Amino acid sequence: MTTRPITRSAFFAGMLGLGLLVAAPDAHAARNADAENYVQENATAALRTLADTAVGTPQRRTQFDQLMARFADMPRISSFVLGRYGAQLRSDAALRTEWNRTFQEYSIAVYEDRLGRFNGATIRVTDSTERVAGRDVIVTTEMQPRGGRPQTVQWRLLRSGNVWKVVDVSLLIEGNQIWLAQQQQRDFLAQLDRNNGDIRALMTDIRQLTASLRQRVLARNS
Amino acid sequence: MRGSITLITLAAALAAPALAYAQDAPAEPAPVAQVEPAAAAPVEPATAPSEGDPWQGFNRSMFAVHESVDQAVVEPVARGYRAVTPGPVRQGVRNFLRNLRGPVIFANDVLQGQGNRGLTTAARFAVNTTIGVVGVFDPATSMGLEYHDEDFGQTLAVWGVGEGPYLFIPLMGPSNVRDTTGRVIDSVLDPLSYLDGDDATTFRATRGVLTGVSVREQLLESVDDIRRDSLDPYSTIRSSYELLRESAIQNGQGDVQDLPEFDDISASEAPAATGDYAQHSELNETPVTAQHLDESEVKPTSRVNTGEKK
Repeated sequence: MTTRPITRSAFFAGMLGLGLLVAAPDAHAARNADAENYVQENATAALRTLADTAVGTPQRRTQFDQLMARFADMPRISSFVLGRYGAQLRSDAALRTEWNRTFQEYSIAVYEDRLGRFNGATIRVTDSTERVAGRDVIVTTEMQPRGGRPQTVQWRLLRSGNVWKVVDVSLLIEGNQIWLAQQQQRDFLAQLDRNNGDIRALMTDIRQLTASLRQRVLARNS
Repeated sequence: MRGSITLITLAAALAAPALAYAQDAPAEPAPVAQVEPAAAAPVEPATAPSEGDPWQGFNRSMFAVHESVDQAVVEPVARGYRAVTPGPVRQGVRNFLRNLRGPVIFANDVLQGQGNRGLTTAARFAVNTTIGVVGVFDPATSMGLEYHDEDFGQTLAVWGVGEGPYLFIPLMGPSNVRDTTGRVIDSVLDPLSYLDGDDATTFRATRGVLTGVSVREQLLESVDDIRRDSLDPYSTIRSSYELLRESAIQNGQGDVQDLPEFDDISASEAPAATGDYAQHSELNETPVTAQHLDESEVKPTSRVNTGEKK
């Protein structure tokens, strides 16, 4: 029986393999402190803005609009929620601009309408998971409404350049999870399917809804 | 008779998973639209079959029947129930009804090969039935025995059975062929189904009515929101049901790798000009192909029908 000497390259290859094995679980479970801080700061600021009854509705809307511009990647969300019909936006810049504006105004109106239920809520980051290291991260938070039960909320962030942006939010309800942009996409797709993919028809419906939501907010605050 | 009572009274209960989130959903400052998109605009009901909903014409008719009965009977009863019972009492009722489902959940845990979850369910049932005074209180949760639900529809999914067409049944709510079958099997798995005598029949009927009223009471605000704000309440309920069922089959949070891609279709073009938005937007330079666009659409994960489970 002969023994073969271990060469230097074989030794280093073995060490590298061991290192990868050891590092793999850690990489899978890696948290991203940068993304966590981003969510903590901006979500807290957004909650504070939405709950700030010291300012008038128009001013609060402007503040939230600006905050949303920093926090959310609206171009991505706006096209995502249209699913396969989003291809129309690529070839029609005017339609894209109009759709983005319509969808953003609708989103803001929705959150203003829901404001009253979450006045005084706080948020705390509890975990994060890197879907794509340094670029696509899921941040888990616990939202505590005043006098209500804690609610697990997850935020999906994508990094564009050096800036994090939220593209989706999920709620965990009694152990079951729902991603809001995904549900929004399904609802819009159902509506578009019924209108032969007419995005302008969808915009007409959404504008009516936005107006209705704003009237309700105004009536509540007056 | 028992079957019809069960059918009627479990109605809202079965619709609950699809809707319950809306009530609890915080108005978090998420940039995406709200849980129930909304519909101020009246929309003509569609009758043409669509993907995943080949029975849409029938389903929409059933949904209309459901809405009529709900508004005439179920909702007023639920509002009355809320008006005359304090919150802690309603919570006790919810705990009691949930505890009664323990054996069914345990059976499905076992059938899915989820031993640890089965043990948790059994321990919860034992603790809450004894210390918790037949389930009125829920000390098990504070002991770290978290509640989870399982039904035979989920078990079938874990075994690889496809969901089949979407199906809306008046008073039972959203479902599909697989989950409707699962509900029938769940009644077979329920030990209370095998009790005999007038008292047993009365108990089952009372349980059924109480379940329907209790669940509908929990959903009052959610249903109001959907009716008022949804572009199409039928579609909203369907999409909620589908997404939450997918999550339930995966036992909650799915694999993050299954999440869809978010491509930026605007590429180097100018973004929307609302507010300060244009100044802050970061645009992605990645070119988007038609294939990418198709991939961005949400599809049910393959995990659902492969028997793979977390």
